[in-house]
Parts: sequence; C-alpha cells; structure tokens
Amino acid sequence: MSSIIKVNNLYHEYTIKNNGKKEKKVALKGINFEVKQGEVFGLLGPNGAGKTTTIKILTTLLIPKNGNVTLLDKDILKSPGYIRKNINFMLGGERGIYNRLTPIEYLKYFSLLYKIKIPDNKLMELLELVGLEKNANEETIGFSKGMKQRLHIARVLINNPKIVFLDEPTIGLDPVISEEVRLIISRLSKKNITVILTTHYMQEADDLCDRIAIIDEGEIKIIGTPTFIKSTHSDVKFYEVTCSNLDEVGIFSVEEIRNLAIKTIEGGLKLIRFEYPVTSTIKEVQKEINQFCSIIKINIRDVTLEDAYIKLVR
Amino acid sequence: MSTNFFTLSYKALYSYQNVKTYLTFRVLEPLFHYLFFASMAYYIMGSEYLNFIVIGNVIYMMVHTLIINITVMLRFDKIYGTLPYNIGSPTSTLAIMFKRLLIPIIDTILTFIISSLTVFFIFNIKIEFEMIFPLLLLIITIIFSLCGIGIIISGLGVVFKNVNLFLNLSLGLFQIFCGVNFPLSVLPNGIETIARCIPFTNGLLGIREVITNSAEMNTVLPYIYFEISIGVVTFIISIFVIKTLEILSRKKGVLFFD
Amino acid sequence: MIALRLLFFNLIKFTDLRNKFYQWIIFCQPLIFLTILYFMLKVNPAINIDKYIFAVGIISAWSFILYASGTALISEKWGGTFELILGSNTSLFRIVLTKSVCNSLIGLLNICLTILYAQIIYGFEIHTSNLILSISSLIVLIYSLISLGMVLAVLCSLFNNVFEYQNLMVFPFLILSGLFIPVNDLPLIFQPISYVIPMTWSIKSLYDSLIGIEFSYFYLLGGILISSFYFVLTYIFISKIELIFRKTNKIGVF
Ligand SMILES: Nc1ncnc2c1ncn2[C@@H]1O[C@H](COP(=O)(O)OP(=O)(O)OP(=O)(O)O)[C@@H](O)[C@H]1O
Ligand SMILES: [Mg+2]
Repeated sequence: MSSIIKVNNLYHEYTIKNNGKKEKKVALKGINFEVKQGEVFGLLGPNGAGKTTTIKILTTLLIPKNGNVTLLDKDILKSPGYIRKNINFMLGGERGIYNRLTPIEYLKYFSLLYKIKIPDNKLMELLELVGLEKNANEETIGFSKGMKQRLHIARVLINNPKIVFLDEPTIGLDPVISEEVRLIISRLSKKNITVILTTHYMQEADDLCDRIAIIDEGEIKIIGTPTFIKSTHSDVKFYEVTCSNLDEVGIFSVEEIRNLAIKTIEGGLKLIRFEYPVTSTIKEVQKEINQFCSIIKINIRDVTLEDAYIKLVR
Repeated sequence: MSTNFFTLSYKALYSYQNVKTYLTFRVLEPLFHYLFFASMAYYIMGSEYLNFIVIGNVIYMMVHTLIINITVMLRFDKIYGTLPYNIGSPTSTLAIMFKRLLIPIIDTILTFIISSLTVFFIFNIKIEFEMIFPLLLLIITIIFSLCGIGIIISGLGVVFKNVNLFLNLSLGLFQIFCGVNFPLSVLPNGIETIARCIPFTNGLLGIREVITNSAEMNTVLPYIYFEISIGVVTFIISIFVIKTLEILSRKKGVLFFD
Repeated sequence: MIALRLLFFNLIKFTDLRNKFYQWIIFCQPLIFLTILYFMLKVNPAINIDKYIFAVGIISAWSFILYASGTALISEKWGGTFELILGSNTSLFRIVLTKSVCNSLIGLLNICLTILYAQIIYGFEIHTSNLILSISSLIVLIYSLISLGMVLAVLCSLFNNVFEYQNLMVFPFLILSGLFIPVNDLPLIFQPISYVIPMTWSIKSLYDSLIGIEFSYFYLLGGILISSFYFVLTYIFISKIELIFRKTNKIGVF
C-alpha cells in the first residue's frame, strides 16, 4: 500500500518579536514521516513541540519555509485546491462554531463552501454519527464543550474526506464524553479514512493510533507502533509489592531499584513501588526484595506509552 | 428553513437579527447623525447649507453602513474562531468575501430608503419620481466602488490585529474629502483634485445634482462614468490585496490572531 | 490619602490607553472634527470660532466618557474582579467614582489636546473674554462629566449589547446639551431633557465666558447642583446593585 501522506524534511520557522526585535523561532527542524491509507496516525509531544504547526502545514493553512509535503500524491504547494477538497480538519477547543446557527445550518454552510450538495437526511446521518441528532435544530450557543467538539467532527466529515486532521479532539472533555469521541474516531478508520491525530493523553493515543510519532522541539524522537515504542524505550519493568517488616534503609541501597516509593497501608503493611531492569526475571527480583521484607503480594505492570513518552521527552 | 449561502451567512454573522433592533439602529442611529451634523452646519455655515449637509450625510451613512458591515462579518469570523475553517475550504477567501457582499449591499440600500423617508419628514427633502432612476444608478455605482474599499479594509483585518484604526480612519477621510460636510471647492487645489479621484466623491456630486438641481440623466452620466472607473480600479486593487494578504498570512501564520 | 492612591493607580492601570479604540478617540477623532470645522469655517468665516473648538474637544471628551465610564461598572464583572471588590471593604461606589474621575481627567486632557491641535496644526487663535470664568466653567464641566460618567456606568449595566447602544447614545447627548444648537432653539419638549443633562449647564456657562456676553452664575451653580444630585442618586443605585449582586450574582442584565 502506498503512502497517502509523505512529509520530507519539513522545516518551519516563525518570526517573533522579542523586546521589539525580530527573531526567528524554529518550530520544525526538518521532520520526515509517511502515513498509509486508513491509518490512524498520532502526533504526540509536549506543548510547543510543533504538532499544530505540522497540522496547519499539511492542511494548507500555513506555507512551510522548507521541505516537501505530498498528500494524495499531490504537492501541498502546487495543488492546494485539490487537497482542500479531499481533506478536512479541526483545530481543537470549542471555538470555530457559529453561535446562532443550528448544527444542521452549520453543516449546510460548510457544505456550500465545499461545493457539495447534501440532502438533509444525509446531514442527519452525520449528526447521528456524533450523537447530536436530538439537537439538530437547536442554536449552538448553549452547547457544551463536548457537543461543540462533536459538531466539529460532523463538520469534518461533510466532504467525505480521505484524510482528516484532528488537533486535540478531546481537549477539555470529561472522561465519558472523551470516550464517546474516541469511539467516533475509531469508527472513521474503519471507513478507510486516514486520521491524523494530536493529543496529550497517552492512553488515548495508545488505544486509537496504529502508529505514533513523538515530536519534541521540532524534531521527531521516535516513530512506530505503540507496542514498538513501548518495547524499545523502556529498559525497566514496574513492580508493586505489598509486604511487612520492611527494612527501608536496606532497600534504598539496592542499585538496580529505581524511583522507589513507599506507602503505609492498613494493618501496618507497606506498599512499595519501583522500577527494575527488564533483564531480570520476576523470580530474581523476588529473591532480591525478600532480603529486606516479607513479601505478601507482588505485581508486575507493563510499560505504558506514558512511561515511554516521559522517558523520551525528559 | 431557507438554507442558501446568503441566509446562512446573514444568520451566522450579521449584527441585527430581528426587525426591531434593525429598525432601532437603522432609523435612530442615522437620524441622530443627521441631526448632529445638520446642527453643526446650520450654526457654522448658515441655514442655506442645511440641505447640502443632510444629503451629504445620507449618502455618507450608506458608505458607513456598507464598509462597517463588510468588515464586521470577517471580524465575527475571527471572534468565533471560524476563520481557519472558511479559509481552509476549497472556496477561495476572495470568493467567500464576494458572495457575502450581498448582505451589506441590501442593508445599505435599505438604509438609504429608510433615510430618504427620515429626511423627507424631518428636513422636507423630497425625491421626485423622475429622480428615482438616475439616483438608483448613482447609488449602485457608489456601492460598487465602495465594495472594493470594504474588502481591502476587512482583508487587512485578517492580517493585522486591530482593523478598527483603518476603518475609523478611512471613514473619517470619506467625511472630509468627499464633499460630505462642505463643498469640495474649499479644499486646497491639489487636494481637491485628489479628492475627485477617490471613490464616492463623484457619485455624491451626481446625487447632489439630481436632488438639488433636478439634473437630467446626461448631466450626471459623467459622474457615473467616473465613479465606475474608480470603482473598477479599487475592485482590481482589492482582488490583488486579498490574494497577497492570503499568501502573506499563510506564510507568516498570523491567520489566527484574535 | 487612600482615595488619592487609588486614583493614581487607576490612571496608570485601568484607563486602558493601550486600547486602540480609546487611542482613536483621544488622539485622532479631534483631528477629523477639527478638519471638518476648519473647512466649514472657510465657507463662512465671519463667526466666533472659539466655542466650536471647545465643542470639538467636548465631542471627544464625551465620547471617551461614554465608552470608558459607561463600562466602568460592568467591566469589573467581565474582568472577574467584581467579587474581589465586594470582598474587600472598598465600596463599589468608590471604585466606580475613581474610574469616572480618571476618565474625566482624560476628558480634560482631550479638550486641552484639541486646543493644542487647533493652534499648532490649524493655526486657530483662541480667545476668552474672561479667563477665570472660562477655567471655572471647565472645572464645572469636568465635575459634570464625572457625575454623568457615574450615571452611564449604572445605565449601561442595564443593556445587553452595551457597545451598540453606546454608539446610539453618542450624538443625542451632544445635540441636547447645546453644543451646537443653543438649548433655547430646540423644540420646547426637548428643553427640559436638555437641562437634566449636567453638561448642558457648564457648556452654556463656558460659551458665555468665551464670548463675553453678560455672564450668569446661574448656569455655573446649576451645573454644580445638578451634578451633585446625580452623585447622590448613583450612590443609592450602586448600593442597591451591590445588594442585588450579593443575592443574584448579577449586575443589571449581566
Ligand atoms: N503564529 C505563531 N507565531 C510565532 N510563533 C509561533 C506561532 N505559532 C506557533 N509558534 C511557536 O511554534 C512552536 C510550535 O508551536 P505549535 O503550536 O506547533 O506547538 P504544539 O505542539 O501544537 O503545542 P501544544 O501542545 O501546546 O498545542 C511553539 O514554540 C510556538 O510558540
Ligand atoms: Mg497545538
């Protein structure tokens, strides 16, 4: 399968004013990645990493200083018109909605801008997909953040896009609504729509994305499937041990034990958490710990994407 | 539910959504404006200038309505954060702006009709039946040549943080240089020539001819031609400005200023 | 002493001179009106121009007061500082008063700037037949603008879209206060309304002092009295508003 997005040496800098003087601020230091059709591709990274900049460039809203980007085999600088017709995007947050229009009118408005005729029942289907069918004829002024965010997703689908860009689609939403939004997104990929997604929630990225790129300060640190990122970027495993008679001084002196945390729980028992190199088996760890306490229970937790992420960008 | 681009844009972006507020602002605001400038002119220039100033300001009020409302729509887009979604669509920014023009144009024509009634009742300035056709032609020409200006100003608003300065300044300049509040002849010679080359001046001269001297069509035709030519130039400039600004804002990434 | 410090703090901090709209009113608007005046006077030069230059200054001062003082009360609510004020023991009246005083001082500055423009850029010469009386009238004018600012602060909290209604209010006050049309020339029904506006009195008194016709202290005193009356009135109103806010968490319609 060929790549639907090809990003080659993408470089961008902004001109900013610092104390009245003009300065260059590099946002992207020449990044490379490719996305295949139907993939959900996640862009992760700390604030100011360059995620939104990347999305703005790919959606033709921003002209990059350097580098090549092709979407659907067309260059973003040469055929922005064709690309705009076949993609859509949302920039996150609750802005970007006309207060006085109803969802149906809002979608109609954009269908006119995308130069397509959509019958009302088709619009209703879109609203059903995002769970707004009951509010179809209400003014959006009173909508909650979650409703606005979902309306954005409906708008994004208005032109049957082949690629959609979702910049922080779950920002500021409560856990239940976020889950609903994630469900909608995962349905998109089943329709063979390519999704580019940014988020600050690692669990979300792990659940949704087929592949992930972690960007930091304008550079891609790693790219690959969540499993790949987790496996290559963690040399430790996470242990949780419930025990009694703990020798606190002794256990702190063990070299391999890192990020140790001790907590007293009921019955005078202690709960300890720590990281231990993956090279040791659980048996070996158990033996080591047993020197300092009597183990009641030992748990081992897999590395999460969050662990890998924190290691990578720290 | 009527759902063409016109009604949707109107509902989404226009200030006055019902007849009551519309009339409040389109009857009272111009009326107060006319009364103020009329009182100023009456006591400074003399009673013989009363009609002069009222006619000037009725037409000025059209310009005011047109330009402010072209600008306001794009500003609402900025406030709502809908600008990137409009600009990122396959319809070009210029096309969106042109399509939306119809709303302020209709508003402007309504403003003129309401104001004509106002000044008839308050200042007894009458529009005779024979005047209607030349007046209509002149008004359409003025609207045409000012749409370009409105688009230029609102385009600047996409790139610059504060568009009000341009807006107020250009409205102020129209009040001074287009013969609204005093005859062009009092301007210094060089400035008078320049004044005759900006949009609105010639149209207003034509309108004065029609209303005060009951001028025939062929007397006002030169004014119309001149106003149209100026309008064509501003229109071409406006297209150029928007295209340039669009590219500029895509390069600088300042499209999303609030 | 505290009041003085609060005033100073306000002048620096809250009269948002970085607001482009206020900059426009203070620095550019007088230029536009002076230019119009300048050319109108070319049409008919043989009249007393001093009062019209002051009139241009008053237009700007009034516009500034209308927008700045008009939002003095509700901007506290918008800025989220209203609750803090209620929590401290500085009264709401005092806060609005300090803001209104600042704005009126800027209004005075506006009038001075207009006179400066008129002399330097347009070469107008300004005469007054009695400097002391003119200055006294100006002081009373500022005093009445302060009281008017207070009234506006209360009044504007009653409208939903303040800014649009403020646009609507600019000219009627100027027409009715005798800036260009002498109040006696207004239709009879409007004359009582004119005399309810505090600046009408001080404008009349200012014009009289400039022209040098027989000066009547009646207008000067009237201006002081009616403005003082508004202070009392707004004091009562703002106390009410404070009380209602504690119960409903709302100021006017906001
Ligand atoms: N219009 C602009 N002008 C100047 N600098 C900008 C502009 N937009 C972004 N930047 C800078 O570019 C860098 C990358 O910003 P970007 O918005 O792409 O980050 P991000 O990864 O989306 O961050 P976040 O997670 O906070 O959304 C930042 O340092 C930011 O300050
Ligand atoms: Mg971002």
